[in-house]
Amino acid sequence: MRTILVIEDQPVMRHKTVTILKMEGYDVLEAPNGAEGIRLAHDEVPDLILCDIMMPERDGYQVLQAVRLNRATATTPFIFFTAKGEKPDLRAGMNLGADDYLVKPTPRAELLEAIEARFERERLNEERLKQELAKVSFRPDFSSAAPLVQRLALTDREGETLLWVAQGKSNADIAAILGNSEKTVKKTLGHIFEKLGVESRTAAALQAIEILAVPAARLSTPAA
Amino acid sequence: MNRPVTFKNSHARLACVVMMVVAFALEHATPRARGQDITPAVLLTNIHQVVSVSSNALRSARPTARVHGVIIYISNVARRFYIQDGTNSVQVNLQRPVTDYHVGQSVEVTGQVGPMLPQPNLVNASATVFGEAPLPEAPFVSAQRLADGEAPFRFVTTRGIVRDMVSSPGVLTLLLTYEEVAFEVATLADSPVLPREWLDAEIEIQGNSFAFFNSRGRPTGFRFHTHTTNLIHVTKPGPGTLFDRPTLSIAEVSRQPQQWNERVKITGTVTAHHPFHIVFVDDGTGPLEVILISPMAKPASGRTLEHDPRVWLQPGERVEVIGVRHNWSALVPTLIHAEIRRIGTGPPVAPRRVTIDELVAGKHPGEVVSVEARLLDHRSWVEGILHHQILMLQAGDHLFQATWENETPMDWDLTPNSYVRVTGVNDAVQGRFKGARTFDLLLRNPSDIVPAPEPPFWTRPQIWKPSLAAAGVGVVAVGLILFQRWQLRRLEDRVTSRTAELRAANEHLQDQVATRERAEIEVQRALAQEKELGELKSRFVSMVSHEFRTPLGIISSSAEILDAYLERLSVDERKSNLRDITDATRHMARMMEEVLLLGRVEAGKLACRPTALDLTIFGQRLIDEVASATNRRCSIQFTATSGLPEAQADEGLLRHIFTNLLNNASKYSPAGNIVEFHIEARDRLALFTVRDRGIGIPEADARLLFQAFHRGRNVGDTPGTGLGMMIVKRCVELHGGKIAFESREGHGTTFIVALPLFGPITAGNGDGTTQLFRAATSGKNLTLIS
Repeated sequence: MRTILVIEDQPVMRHKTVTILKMEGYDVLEAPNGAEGIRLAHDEVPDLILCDIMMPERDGYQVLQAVRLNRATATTPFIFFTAKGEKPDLRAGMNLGADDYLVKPTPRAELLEAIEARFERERLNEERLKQELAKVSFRPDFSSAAPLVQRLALTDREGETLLWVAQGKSNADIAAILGNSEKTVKKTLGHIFEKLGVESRTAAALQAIEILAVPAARLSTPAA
Repeated sequence: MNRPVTFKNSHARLACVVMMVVAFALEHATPRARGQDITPAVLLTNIHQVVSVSSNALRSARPTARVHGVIIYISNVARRFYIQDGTNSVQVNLQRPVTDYHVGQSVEVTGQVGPMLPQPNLVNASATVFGEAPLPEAPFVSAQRLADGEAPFRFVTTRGIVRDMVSSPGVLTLLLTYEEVAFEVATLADSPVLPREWLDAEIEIQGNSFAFFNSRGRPTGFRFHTHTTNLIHVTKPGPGTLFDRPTLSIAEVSRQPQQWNERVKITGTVTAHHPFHIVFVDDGTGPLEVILISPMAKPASGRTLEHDPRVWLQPGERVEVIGVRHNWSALVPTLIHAEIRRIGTGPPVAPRRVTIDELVAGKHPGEVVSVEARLLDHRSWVEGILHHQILMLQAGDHLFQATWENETPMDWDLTPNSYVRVTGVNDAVQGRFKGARTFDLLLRNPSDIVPAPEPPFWTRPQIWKPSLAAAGVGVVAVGLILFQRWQLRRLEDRVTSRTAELRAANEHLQDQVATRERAEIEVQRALAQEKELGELKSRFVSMVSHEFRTPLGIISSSAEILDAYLERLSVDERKSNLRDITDATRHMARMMEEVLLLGRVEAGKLACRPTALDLTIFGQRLIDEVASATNRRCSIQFTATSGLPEAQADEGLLRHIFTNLLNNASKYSPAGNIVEFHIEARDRLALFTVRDRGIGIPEADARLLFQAFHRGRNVGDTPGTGLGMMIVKRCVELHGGKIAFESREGHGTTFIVALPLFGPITAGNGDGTTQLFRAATSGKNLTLIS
């Protein structure tokens, strides 16, 4: 279930956008201003953020910067809403790391397309990297998370979570396996990223595999 | 489980190497803060972002980027390739050699953004291959635009006509022209055979353009690269030969229309060769100017087409020329993009004797002419490998020059002031202005300057002009002296009368100047006012269109939701969306009415037309209307002092004013509260009071109350356009009145309007009304607005 965060100060329009997204099967979080939006992004780690630019107090750019500075959300897809007269500032937004922008009022079809395109790209990236990983001809030992806990100074829960990430499991799967909520899994991942100094699950996975990797010679001998 | 690890197996060794490489790559792909390392806070995720980084930003920090793209070109001289994503492409400089990659691979590249012309590149990069991907679409970009530096590194299509070609091992280079631009195309080729069938054919190539830039960042030309001959298509075949084509006469060629593509052939005799690539030729039917194409650089080993080695051509040599009929600004028919071949020698073209007047009139352009003139001066200097010599000559009243430019200097006998016969090619050029032509005689050999016999001395302008002048002067001098004596007497009489006239005229002039200065100041002031008004108007227009956008967005969004999800919505949800549509429509309608009203006020179309009005009846009627319009939300109490005199008022304006005030009083009060409306008379003024006990106006909003679209910060969900108070203020002003208010947030608001209805009405009653107003409301803490 994908989670989308909508940050928009005009209450009626926010309600409409939220309605459309809920009808399309997304989990939706909403925030009526920038400060609230930053807090929700940090606590809930959504899968995608839609944000208005012109808001009182914290504006869209400030939200974007705050979100990008947090490791857990540094690569979260971020889409701006803008009214027509703000074009010159879009460069600033794109340079700061926004992925796309939509012009208000946005037709429903465009909104959904833009969101789908972001998710699709993420999925494709994951697929490709997984394929690359599969090509490498050595087999890591996924039987225990102990090496990860030891070598990376992780807690037991973090080690377990990372072990499943390294095997290519999605957050939803890991939540099911460990008996936690998806939200907990995402927060744990955030901590893992901090400790490992990375920003994406695949970078973390690679570090884990490096530690867990076993020379192929060992595979032919029975586990002692 | 405790066995030591053995590395005899080569698989194991490979695994360790791969892991080390992966760890190494990760180490450098995600830099951590380590002492002096720059930790970029920004991660760019697509090529568009990378090439949009400004060079200013790159001075202070180098952001990292992780981007995807298709490899469109691999450089064979450096660890470098180019990738493209959509319509953006970027140069990637790798740490590892490029032999592992090929064009058409889809890669993910991680690296640092570096400054480069014409756009940033990626350095210290590493690339991971994902698989194969189709090359992006290659849109057509003309050679002129590529020469201007457009579409840098992008995979594009361009077109041109093949004029020359060379091949070296593995590389085929073509020289193309497209309109006036000439450029080289390099492609990887397996076969060393030159594709002669492409000569003078139009081809279309897909590949990349590499523009050259000078130190100031201006584009100075480009070179086109494509990595295989499969991307070259012939769109119009050519004759495939250089000189094997029918010969035309120069007269026939001159009659042809100008174009950029087809080369025609002529033969003729050289009359001059101007460094380095301009040759004049004549075949007896007329002169021709030939602009030779720049030859391609011959490779160290490889094949070329057979060309004549470029030497200085002498007058009298017979040549064959192929070129495209296109004049520049020349008055002589011209062939450009030309190739030339010597076929022998013949008698040189005889010069035509002309007069200086014919040359100045622009006759005989491009022909070999000879004219007599006096040599006044000469200059010579060396520039690079060229010797320049310029001779300044005079014939009749005209000055002109003859030029020698060549690798060897010419040794003429040049005595200043000697009389000579000059022979040369008349290089006549059209200037910028119609009818402005200049000419220069191009010298070819020593016999082009020969001494000529001096003309009789009295024909020299230096002699006969002064003599004639002297004789004339003498005759005139005597006559003048006699005439002057007579004149002097008459002048004295005139002077006295004129002085008087002048004095009067001077005074008149001074008055005029003063008036004009005053008028100018007025004009300046009016212009400044107009400008300010114009700015206000355009701000208003943009504010209005912004305000309309919100209800339009609500309507379209609600309609889309109803359309897409009707069956899944509950009845209440459907009703709620429909209600949003009607509310937003109503909001827009009201805004439109108010904006139109304001427009009419601004355009001066709303005037104050007072008629006799009974204020008591008016007030009674008004509160009934407002009460029903507001669904009796608040009860409105109307009181008027007894014995109100008949008023002279514009009922329409009064309606606008008090409908708005009473509506607001009702809207912004809790339901059931009382609103008071009171009318009384003081001297010439009618005082209207509207009092409510509602949410009040916060102090911070008080100043801005009458501005367009401004609403108090405490209005919450109460609907309103923000234009009502602006309308009220305008209408009060139109009626020559004043308005003030007193308010406390949370307690209520009182508006007092004073209109001069009981006396002579003039719009400019300003001060008088203000005084009366203050007197009438003394003792209260009010904010006076107008």
